[in-house]
Amino acid sequence: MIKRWKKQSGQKIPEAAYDWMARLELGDITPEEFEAYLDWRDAEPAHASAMQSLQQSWSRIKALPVPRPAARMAPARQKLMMRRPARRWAAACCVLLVVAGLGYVAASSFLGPAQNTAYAAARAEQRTIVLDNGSSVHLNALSKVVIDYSADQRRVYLNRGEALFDVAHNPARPFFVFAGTGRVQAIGTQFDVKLSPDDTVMVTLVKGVVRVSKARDATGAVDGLFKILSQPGEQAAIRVRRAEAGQTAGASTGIEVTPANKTSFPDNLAWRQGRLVFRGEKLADALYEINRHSNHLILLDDSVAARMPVYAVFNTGDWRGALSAIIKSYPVKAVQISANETRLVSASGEMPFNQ
Amino acid sequence: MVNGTGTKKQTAKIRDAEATAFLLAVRSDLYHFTLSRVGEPGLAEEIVQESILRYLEVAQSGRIERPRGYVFRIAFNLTINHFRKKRLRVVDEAVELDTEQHPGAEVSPEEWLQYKQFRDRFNEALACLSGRHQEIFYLRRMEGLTTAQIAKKSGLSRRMVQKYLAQVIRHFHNRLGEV
Repeated sequence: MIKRWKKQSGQKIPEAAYDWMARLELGDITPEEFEAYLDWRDAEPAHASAMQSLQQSWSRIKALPVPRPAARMAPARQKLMMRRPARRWAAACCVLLVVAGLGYVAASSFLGPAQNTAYAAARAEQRTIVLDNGSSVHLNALSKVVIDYSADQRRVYLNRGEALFDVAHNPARPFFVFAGTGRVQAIGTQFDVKLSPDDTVMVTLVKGVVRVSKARDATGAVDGLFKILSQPGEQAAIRVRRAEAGQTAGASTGIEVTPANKTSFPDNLAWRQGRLVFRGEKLADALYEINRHSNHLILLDDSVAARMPVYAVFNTGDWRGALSAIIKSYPVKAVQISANETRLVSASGEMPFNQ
Repeated sequence: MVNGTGTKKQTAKIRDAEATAFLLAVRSDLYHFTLSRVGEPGLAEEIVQESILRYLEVAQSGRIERPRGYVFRIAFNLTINHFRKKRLRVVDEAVELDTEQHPGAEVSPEEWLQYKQFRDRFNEALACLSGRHQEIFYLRRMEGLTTAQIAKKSGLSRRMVQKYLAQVIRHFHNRLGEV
């Protein structure tokens, strides 16, 4: 890996260049230090060109969103990291990915999770769990999975929220995800499963093939009915009908498949990139998603029409941005009711939409 | 001011001349430094102009110890302010764009794919960083915290925050820097 970049960039960057670049990026530099920087830069042509090359690669990633890291590392681990020389650190980084994951992976999960281990991601948190050789689960905020591995089956129960699964195919040990009334069988693949507060199960295929069935109960028995997803972006939904006249409470619908949209990837995966994309979702549902990623809750007053459609893109965790956009677009105003809660109330006192 | 003596006027004149000569000497360097950070010639020129005006204002009232560092620092601050405003604007643009329901209309599929591939590589490289490095990178990039704020939040010294960020820069340069 290191050999490759040296050949391609064809230039050795002096140590000091990274330091100066960091100082500039942090904006943490006095006029005196700035002068020292300029002197250093002009001392040798190689210094100036190194800075230029760093500036270029840094600018390229400037517009990309950075998701909020999942959790902090344990203090002991930090000490270890600090003592490690920088060169070795760079070389070892990919090994660290496996060990440290997105910040939190317990040592036990590196060796493979124990039976029936539960993992949860709190509000405003995301978490990656390495399951076995080549498989992992990325947990969205406010989500919980229970891992149940046996010799002949890999089972994951999504009890709450949403998770993106990366699964290494192993015909001897099939991989199943159980969520609400759905069962998803992975066949060497990447896919997202979301369990909404209203018990709707939504499966989105990223790559590979999955088989979506209706699970009758937690034992894993399934109805004969199933749907295969094989096109990236294809989605399958199983909804649960609310108890109405003449209906059994909790009876679920069939499996509705939405074909892949060729031009844009399903927006509901944007959370992995630190983004939330809404294309006409109900305001109440959008707020649920926004709140999931933030410790500051935006609540909806009864006076506000919860069904108003939302069209917007936000960064996860940016509740201020979301709030200001909502206030600008809808006849609502914000009332901060505590340090961690803001309530949206109707600006006019009337319902802007008929419900 | 009205009754200013001759010597006072004279020193002011000398100061002005000095400042002008100095600014002529650094102007091009200042412009290229700014351009490399903002990427738009027109905007870079604007920032350079504004920096020179501000520099002259301060130079009128007294001697500046480190003129070059000082005027670069001014331009640098203006650049940061520009990006701060731009970040706010981007959120609003996204809202408007989607209200009109033209998803992806202005981006060609090729561009989109290229962007997506680069973004995937970026995310991969990001995942390779330790939790601590990611945290510092996130706090600076997304929340715009200062060195002191990051140091306080993460329990590190300011020097360590700088060091960590230098390692992050090295990492991304090594992984994504090649053309």
